[in-house]
Amino acid sequence: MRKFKFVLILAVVSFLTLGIYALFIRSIDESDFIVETVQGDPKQPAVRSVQAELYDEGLKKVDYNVALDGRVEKAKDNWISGMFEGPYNENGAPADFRRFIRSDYVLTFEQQGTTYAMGTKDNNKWELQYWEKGKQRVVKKIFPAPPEARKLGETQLSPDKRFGNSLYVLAQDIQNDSETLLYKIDLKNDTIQKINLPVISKGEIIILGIHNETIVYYTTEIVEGADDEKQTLYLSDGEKSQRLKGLKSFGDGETKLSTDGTKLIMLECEPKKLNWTIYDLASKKSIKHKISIPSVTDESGSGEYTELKDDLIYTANRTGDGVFNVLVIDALSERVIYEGNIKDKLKRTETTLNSLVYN
Amino acid sequence: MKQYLMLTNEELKRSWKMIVAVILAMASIEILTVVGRVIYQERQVRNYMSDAKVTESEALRSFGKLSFEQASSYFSYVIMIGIVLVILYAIQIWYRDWFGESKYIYRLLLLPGGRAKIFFAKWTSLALVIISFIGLQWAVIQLSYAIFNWLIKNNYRASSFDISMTLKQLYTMNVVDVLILLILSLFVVSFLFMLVLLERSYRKAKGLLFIVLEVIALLVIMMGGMYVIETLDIFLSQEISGIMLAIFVLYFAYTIWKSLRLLKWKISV
Amino acid sequence: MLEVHGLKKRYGRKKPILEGVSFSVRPDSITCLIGLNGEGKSTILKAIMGLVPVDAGTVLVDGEVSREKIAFVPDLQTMPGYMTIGDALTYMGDYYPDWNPKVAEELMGLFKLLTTDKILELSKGNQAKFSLVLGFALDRPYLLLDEPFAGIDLFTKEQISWIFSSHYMEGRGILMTTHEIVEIEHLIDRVVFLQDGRIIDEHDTEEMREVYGKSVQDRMLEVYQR
Repeated sequence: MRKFKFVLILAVVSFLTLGIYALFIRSIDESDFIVETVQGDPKQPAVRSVQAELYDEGLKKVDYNVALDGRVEKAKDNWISGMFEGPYNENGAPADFRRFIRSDYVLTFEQQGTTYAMGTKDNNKWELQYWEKGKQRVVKKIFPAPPEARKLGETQLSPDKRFGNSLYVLAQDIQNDSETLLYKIDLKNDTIQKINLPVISKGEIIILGIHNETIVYYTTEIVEGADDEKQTLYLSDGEKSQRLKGLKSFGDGETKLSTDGTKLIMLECEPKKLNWTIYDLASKKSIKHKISIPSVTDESGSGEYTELKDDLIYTANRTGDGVFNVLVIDALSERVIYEGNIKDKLKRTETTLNSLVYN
Repeated sequence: MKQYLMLTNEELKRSWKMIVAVILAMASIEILTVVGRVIYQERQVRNYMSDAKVTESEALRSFGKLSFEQASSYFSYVIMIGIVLVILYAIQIWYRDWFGESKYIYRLLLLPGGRAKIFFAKWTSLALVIISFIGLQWAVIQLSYAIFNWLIKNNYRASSFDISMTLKQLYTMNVVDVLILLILSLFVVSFLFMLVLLERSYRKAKGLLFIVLEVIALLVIMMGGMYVIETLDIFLSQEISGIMLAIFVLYFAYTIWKSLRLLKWKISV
Repeated sequence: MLEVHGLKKRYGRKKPILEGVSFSVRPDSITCLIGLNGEGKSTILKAIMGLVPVDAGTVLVDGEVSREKIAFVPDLQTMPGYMTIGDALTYMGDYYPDWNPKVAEELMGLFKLLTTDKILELSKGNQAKFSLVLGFALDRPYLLLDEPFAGIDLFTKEQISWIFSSHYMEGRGILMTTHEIVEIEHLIDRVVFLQDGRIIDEHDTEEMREVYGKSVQDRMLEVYQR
């Protein structure tokens, strides 16, 4: 033993001091979340799949996923797991799908747990693949390019939105500055149909909603001579477009077409207030709604997440140390279908709200 | 195995005074900087109070309270010095066997059995020193925090325990990361060992030439690898991470293999 | 038999230090490797022990490639500076299964060395004697000595010379390099002359004296005057 004296001394020192470190790590508090339901049933379909993503910004970095029925998932990273983390849009998909979406010519779009990826290399064939995480399967389709699209130069296909079994895709010639074409892909019958999009300008097109023949979209044009961008909102019935005037900001994600296609829902977030306007497309009348939210942002000013989905407004707001209020509101009727509070028993200030996810 | 442990012990025994001295010096400096910062802040607040003729709480409000994170801000410099000393140790642990009044390298190379144990004894000595440094540094952080709390007046202290951003890179509150840190350090040690053995195996210019070649080879592997991966553009990010990890492991193994080979066939007293 | 075959060594593009050196050392005899300074005598010993690499050549001990039957006494100190003689003896015992502590103790007594002496604080003579202890206390059939008499006083030389005619020599083949031919000529059984990296002459000393009537020194002058 004496022959290994110094080896043993250093080994013991290392063991003890690293033990102190390990014990310290364990002693760091982790948030202990419970969910208090104020009103509504957390098991209803619109609420069941909602999880709040919370990040621990303290010494020990922990990610929490809190479901509204009280289930909490925790995850901790280390340097190795960080190296092997994939980009967010890979979503657990198999390797060949991930390779497909890496290609330069492929664009992706995620909706309700499914990632849609489309691209065309030579304007002869259009490739579509989509990964349904819930069903754990990849669907691959190849379509012959529609006639008018073949004439385009280098084309970028953006899968835009899915309504029912129809996936709407925008085709844009990025070499020449020609107009954007809109196509509807029937995923059941494997057909592509061109949708007439009477576009007045040549600017960038963002589709806010499609319902049967009704298309609500806006264009963004750079105003010559000024630094501004002009955004114009249009309503189209497939044959002609009309400008919708008098509506304020209508950003993508905050403005959506109601599921029955008759109204526009436009969200406006302000501190401590949630405003939204319902615009009836037929009568052209607006109704404003508002709800006040007792949010208390944290030191970095964050702690708020709002999203409009399927005519419902999902909003999560920090209301105190380790307290996050979650509301699900029916935008059309102003009825609160669920309200709950995610509370950290330890009231830690280090945990912040990142977003709501729907799994 | 027994001889390898005895040799490791011998290496540590020869450096023991130096190791303990460095540890005590670094710990003392770090603790002193914390004490110094507390005293300095106190003095500044006092001066401000008398200069601007305000009360203590007003002075604190404009001056700001002192957090442990701020008080321990010099620790990263001490750590950097520690890293440099470890690198020097990795080089000196070989050269001291050639230079001095006795040439211990003769004794080592004449020992019965293989020469790998010579390499691994020095390697293990470095490993033990590095882990001890990592662990002791944490102990000093905790100790200085206790001293900080004991020394500072309650109303002068800001917030609870936190350490600087730089320290958080090292102490990520994840034990796996300590292991990774150790592996990376040992890689650097192995690479340095290989360069030293190259120099000691070949005379003057040839030795330096080989060192330069090995350094270039490493750079080529790193840059070349990245270039090839980017140009091919067929790999997913996890696959790239996997490839980089594999290259690292292979090159690490190479440095050790090469070192052992040099020690066996090419080393010269 | 310790056989050296075709040792070659060169440093860069300069003249090679060893150009095919071959000779052998018989058991139970003392062979002396003679050559001018810087001719590579020391290098040959180190090459045999694997302390310097060679470009070509083999060393066989009783037909095997193994260094574990050869003990080496270099001309400098090899134990870490802080060690006492006692530390060094313990070290040898720890690492060498063929270390003979009894022989070590006897020789220590004969040489009047103390275990408490710090090696580097000893006189050159005592250091030389201690190095010999380290070599002779290993139960190995062959022993290489690099300049065992270099720079030490006459009295110590006598003490050391004594050991070469003692019972500690039994069963050993010795190869040594030295300049002090005169003092040990009566002990040497064989001489090997090295010049320009080659063995130019080899003789049994007895044969040399009886047949040619020359002493080793005479022969040396002859050889190196050519």
